[in-house]
Amino acid sequence: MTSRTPIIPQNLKLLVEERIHDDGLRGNIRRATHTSLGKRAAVVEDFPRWEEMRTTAHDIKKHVMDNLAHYLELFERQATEAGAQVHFARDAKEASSIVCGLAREHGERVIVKSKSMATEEIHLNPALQQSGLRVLETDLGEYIVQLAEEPPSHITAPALHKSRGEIGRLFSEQLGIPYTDDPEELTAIARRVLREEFLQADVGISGVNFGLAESGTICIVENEGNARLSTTLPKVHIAVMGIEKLLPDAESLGLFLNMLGRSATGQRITCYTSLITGPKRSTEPDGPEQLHIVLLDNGRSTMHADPKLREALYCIRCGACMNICPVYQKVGGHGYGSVYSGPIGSVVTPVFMGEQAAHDLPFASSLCGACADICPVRIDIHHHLLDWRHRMVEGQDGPLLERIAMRLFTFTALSALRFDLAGRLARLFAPFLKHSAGGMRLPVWSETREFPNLPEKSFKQLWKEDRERS
Amino acid sequence: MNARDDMMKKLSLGSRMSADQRIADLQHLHDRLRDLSGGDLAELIPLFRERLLANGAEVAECRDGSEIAEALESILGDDDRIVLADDARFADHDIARKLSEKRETRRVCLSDDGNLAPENGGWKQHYAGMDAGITFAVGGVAESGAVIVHASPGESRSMSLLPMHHIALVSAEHLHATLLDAAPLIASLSQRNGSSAVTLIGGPSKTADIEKVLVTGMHGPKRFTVLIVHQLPAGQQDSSTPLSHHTEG
Repeated sequence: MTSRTPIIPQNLKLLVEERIHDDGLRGNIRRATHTSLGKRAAVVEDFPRWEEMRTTAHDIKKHVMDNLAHYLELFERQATEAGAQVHFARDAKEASSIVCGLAREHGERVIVKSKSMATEEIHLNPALQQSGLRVLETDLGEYIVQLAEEPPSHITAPALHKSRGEIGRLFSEQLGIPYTDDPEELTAIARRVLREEFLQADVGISGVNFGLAESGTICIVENEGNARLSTTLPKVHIAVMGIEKLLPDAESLGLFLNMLGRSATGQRITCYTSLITGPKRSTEPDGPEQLHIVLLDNGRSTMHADPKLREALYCIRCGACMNICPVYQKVGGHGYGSVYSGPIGSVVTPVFMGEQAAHDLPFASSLCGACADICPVRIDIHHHLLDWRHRMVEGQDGPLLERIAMRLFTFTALSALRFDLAGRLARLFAPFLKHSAGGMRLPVWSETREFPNLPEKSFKQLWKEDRERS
Repeated sequence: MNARDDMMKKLSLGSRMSADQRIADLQHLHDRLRDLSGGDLAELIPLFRERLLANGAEVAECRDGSEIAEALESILGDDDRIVLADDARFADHDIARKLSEKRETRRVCLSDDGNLAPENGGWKQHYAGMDAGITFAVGGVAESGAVIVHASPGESRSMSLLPMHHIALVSAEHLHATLLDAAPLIASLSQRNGSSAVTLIGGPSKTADIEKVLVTGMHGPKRFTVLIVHQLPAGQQDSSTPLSHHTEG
């Protein structure tokens, strides 16, 4: 299999432009995101105290981040005592070379992989392929985008941008089978193809949803069973885990499991929640002989050191902020040109890819705040986007026209007399800007929507009249 | 400096809580978790059943004793080849023998007589060729609609994963109201001298990756059945009226 299109910083406007005119794509995304949101709403109702749960989840993550060095050391110690081999990686390159080294040592035939955003982040697949290894994505959505040589477009539903027809054609071309667009049949075909590969694989690679410090346990959440297969059948299991995934213990895990399934896919619990502690015990019938856990920094310690940005490390990658985001709903994950898309993606990408490369991302938001309202761990996402905007324009001059306009506005607004006068003038001249339809006409803006008319009287006038009447 | 020390050093600059503060803070968070959990979950079994069905599982109930074999017979239906957990409880009431009368039955761990064992070459294919795997769950979580299974000498990871049908027996006494209530059990199973794999199973393997259309049996079992076993009141022998078998709509 050839490698995926690498994700490189691109002109965001160009990416968006391409997608916003693709009606098919917009339909696919709208259907998928709205289905998830509808299901989520229904099961969140199980908990009348959902809002308090969010606050508690936020505070548990804060507790972990305020003690991250302690919990990371504890996790390392416990996992090692349970027989796992723990590796540390400062950046994407180190992580990917650790995994490639292990895979080369053990993987002669095929490497099976279950969905993991951390491995996307470190661009593991191209690196494995360059090492001459065959790596197979086994989550259905990931398998589809791998066949299509595309990156995933959503963190929990990687092929959400594709219709059944597109997937049917892809399977037909790539697997040499008769065309079908029946999801049931397509799924059965994928099961058959991938089951054979699972039975052959020497190495399984997975991500991690939560790491439990008290026992050195990794927790993987999924529906398909491919993560269980990847972590059970091959003799070596390699797990790549961002250092922010830690939780103190099984008590806190309960809360997060309750929130993750509901927020991500509207499920009370996903089909499989695997808690893996060390490799297979000598008395157990099956399981991998070796478990390697690669702890990934890649900018996380930089976020950790920043008192504001630290909050972005609370993210549990549920994808709810993408589903609810009016921008994501229009352009989809690929419209962002980054591994992590959507609102939270725009907060963390400047750290992962550099401010220069991700310069436009924090501006790709309407700042409506729906993301912060839905976030199960209460990350104040839109304020982080606003913060990034501040950081990125700091010390830079805006366009000349904007600067003149802002100066004029400041001058006007600083005096009641001038402000009043400006209002009167605007009301006097507004009728000349009127559309035939009655609305005001402004360049660009009026091409797609109406600008509201100015009210006939100012607030001050209305106030005065009201006082006089009473 | 190696990567580990480098990362630890950077992180410790931003982690300033003393051990005492940390313990107190965590204690406080645990108190809040306990306050949030629980409530009116008195009727655990109906809730457990309802949530399992909503998750796409099938649910059956029976009384302890000879009813178990009967219930399993009816759940298995056409499943011809089955793999049983190597558990003394299957010898009780002759369950293993009764099941093997009509079908090919294998235990998980015995290697000398052709039964499945890791030393046997091709054990993965063996499991994959099985119609059903029958395991004992160590507990259930009513609010989530899930059972807890774990890898042990008598129970492999694969038997609840590779066959097309997974049947989990769970004792009604082992139901927990919430995930928080089940946390001590999960924590004790996940100790370093415990099990390498503790799994919460809430339904059949499924995917919705194609246009959000739900399809079961993606990689794991297409059918997942939970058999709730009710303890007999002390002194009472088998009852003649079997309990019902539910499936979703």
